Amino acid sequence: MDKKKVLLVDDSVAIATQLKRIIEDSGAFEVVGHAKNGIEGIKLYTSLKPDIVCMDLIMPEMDGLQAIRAIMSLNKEAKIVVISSAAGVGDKVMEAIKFGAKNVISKPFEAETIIGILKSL
Amino acid sequence: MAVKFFGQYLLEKNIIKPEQLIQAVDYQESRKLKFGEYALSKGYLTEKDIARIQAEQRRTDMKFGELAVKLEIITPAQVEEILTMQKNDHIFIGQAMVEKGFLTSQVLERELALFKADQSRYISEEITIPQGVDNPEIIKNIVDLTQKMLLRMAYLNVKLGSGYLSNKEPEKNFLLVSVHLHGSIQYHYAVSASQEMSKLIASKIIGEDIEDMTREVIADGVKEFCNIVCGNIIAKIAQKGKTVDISPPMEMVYSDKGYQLLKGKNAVYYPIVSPKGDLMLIVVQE
Repeated sequence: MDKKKVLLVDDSVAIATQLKRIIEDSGAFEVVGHAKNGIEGIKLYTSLKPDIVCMDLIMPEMDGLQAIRAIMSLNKEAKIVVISSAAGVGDKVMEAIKFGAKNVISKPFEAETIIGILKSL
Repeated sequence: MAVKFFGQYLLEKNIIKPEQLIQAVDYQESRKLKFGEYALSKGYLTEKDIARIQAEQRRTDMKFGELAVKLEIITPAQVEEILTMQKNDHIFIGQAMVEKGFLTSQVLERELALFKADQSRYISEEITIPQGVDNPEIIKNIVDLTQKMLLRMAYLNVKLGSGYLSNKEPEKNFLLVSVHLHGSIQYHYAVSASQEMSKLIASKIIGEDIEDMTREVIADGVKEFCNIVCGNIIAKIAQKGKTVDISPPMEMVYSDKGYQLLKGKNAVYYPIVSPKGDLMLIVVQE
């Protein structure tokens, strides 16, 4: 079975490195790109056409909420999962899911939570 | 494993779907009495005010809070505070989900117990706050969550030194990372760390020991640590009804004028000691 393609959008290289390892170790996914802000995220979404996007919220240049909105306007079927330190803030979560995010995972996270949610999409 | 609000906790556990969370929050917000109860408990409205708003509401389709503002009974800031409290209140959001048929009472009861046990790790412990500090409860949350996240993410069981107020710029160190917290309250959260501590934190964030880590990678790891701590801090502050946002973390540059972090303002300094090295937590009061 083909592995699902995942795009990471997070300004932290450290977190992206950890996420890539967790996601690829599951054997079900392949990380095809890493964008460091929302603008790069939209560009890579368009060029790489990933199956799933893991999106941080707090980023320079363009934040995750704006990027979710832009990606959802490009593809209403896009599967975006927010992974953010601000996931405990009700307003942020509500905005993210109203814009179309499929789930919201808080940082720090557990590997099994990430994989469980990605597999459920 | 972080400060959460109950709706997100249920979402993350795949117990509810995102559209159900949206519907439950809308339903909760539409229940004017709940808003009134909160406002009453905060002393922002009287029973008479509530009756007047409800009477007025029959003639309009405005939400309870909006109407209360229009009638100049309550301020927009007070409405925002109540709505923020409501969204973060796990009991009411849970009830809304049961009433909407998204959860059974049994599942709610079970998940609330698990949620409370998970979140009990984030209840602030006794921390001495120096005299003259504004919002001591918030400073307590900031210090406490920093300590807890050092344990949770870097496996560091740290000891907290005595906190003190100072308007002196921090001393030069390998790394000083700052995060701006802005909204209904304003702070600069900063961590000053030695090279050894910075490397340790970065390697734990990445999840593996990397030999010859570049300075950029180390700084990135410490910045992400500060970002995670501050994200959890604003979640904790949201539970108190305050809306605060954070900016991406920044590495401060040392010059002949020092770091220029305080710029003459006061900061609370907390030395954090561990067997692996020391840190300084600095919270600048805006």
